[in-house]
Amino acid sequence: MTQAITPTAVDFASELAELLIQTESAQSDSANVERDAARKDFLENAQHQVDALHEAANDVYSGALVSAAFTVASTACSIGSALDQYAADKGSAVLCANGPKTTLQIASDTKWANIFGATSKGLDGLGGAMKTFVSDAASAAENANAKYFETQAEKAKWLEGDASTELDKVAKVGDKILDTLQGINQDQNSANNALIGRI
Amino acid sequence: MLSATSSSPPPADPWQSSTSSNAASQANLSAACALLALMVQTQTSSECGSKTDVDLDFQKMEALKKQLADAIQQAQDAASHSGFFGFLGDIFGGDVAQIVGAVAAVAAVVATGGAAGPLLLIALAEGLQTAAKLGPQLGIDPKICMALGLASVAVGVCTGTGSAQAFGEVADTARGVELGAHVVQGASTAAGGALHFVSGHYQAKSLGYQADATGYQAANDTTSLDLDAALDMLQRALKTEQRETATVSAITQDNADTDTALSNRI
Repeated sequence: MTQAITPTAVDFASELAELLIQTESAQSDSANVERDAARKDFLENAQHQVDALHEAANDVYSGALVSAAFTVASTACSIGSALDQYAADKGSAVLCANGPKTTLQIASDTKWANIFGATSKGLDGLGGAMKTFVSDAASAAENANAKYFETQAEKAKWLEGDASTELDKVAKVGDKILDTLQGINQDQNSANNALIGRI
Repeated sequence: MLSATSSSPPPADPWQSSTSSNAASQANLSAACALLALMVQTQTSSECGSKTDVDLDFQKMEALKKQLADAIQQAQDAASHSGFFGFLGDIFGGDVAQIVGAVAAVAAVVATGGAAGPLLLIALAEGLQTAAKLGPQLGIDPKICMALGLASVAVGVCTGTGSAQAFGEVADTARGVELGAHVVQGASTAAGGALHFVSGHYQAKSLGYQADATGYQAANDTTSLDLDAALDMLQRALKTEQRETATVSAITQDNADTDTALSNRI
């Protein structure tokens, strides 16, 4: 009678433990998958963040290049304007007081001086606008992208941490199950031995 | 006789059942030991793998920390260079260009002043001379009066005789000065633009190094998490090995207890 009862109890405990262990294994696998997915997301978002920051740096470089190009072009026009203005002034200085007030050459020099001067000012203003458009705006956009990816990476990091915590919890539960099963077996064995000794 | 005695079947052994129980127990023990050995071997392999992972992650973290420090240092150097060239660019494109532009503007005033130019200079010289004379009577410091006198002489020299003929040469010179100032201003502005480009280049490099540092930091974080996972796995393997050993010890102990109980009963 006792021989019949004991294996049944052990079988029940074993089946329960097996079921719990299977549940624990499933939870552990799920947490592992979640952690791996979160790790992959974190790496991808971090890489996107780095790429965005590199793009922002490239935009700063492009802006500096465009700004310098416009500054040099503006300066060249400014010097050209000064040279033409000098020629015009020089020509005006040698005119007779009672003669014509200008000549074709002086008018041409003055015209080109004005053209170069206006071009210089235009290029100067355009350089500032292009720097804003090419560098500042694009760089700000890329920095915003980098911030977004940083946030996503941080979120993935939190998820990975949560998955790790879940894994720890599952492992602790598994330990408790195994401890309980071991205790049940020990008690059962002790009871069996006691019965054998009494009989 | 002896041989007959020895060849006769052995008498019924009262310990036979106990011997068979011992054999079964030893078989159980052997099976348990074999299972234990297999499990311990598996756990040892897992432990070795985890230890290797820990070592590799540790080495990777060290390398990443070095790369991170290098990237930060390079970013700092690039930022320093950017600041230096930006400062030079501000000087050339700002201060120097403004000063030379002011010189050009003054030269332009002198060059385009026409007949009013010498009159203005004469008036300025006369004013300074009068101030130098009246200064002591008004209680102004004699040193200041002397400076005003010297200034009036200097302006007088610049005006020459004050004639328009003489001012024509001055105007020519002023035009040359204006042109030179404009050219220098343009060159200075261009130099400032070029220096700002160099500054921007270093700023971009600094940002690039900062981006690299961000990437190294992310890789470091990932490796740190991997290291934690490997340590967890190692700890779990050790715990499992300990548990398996304890379980097999309990089985062995239980077998021994059963044998003892059976022996006592018999």
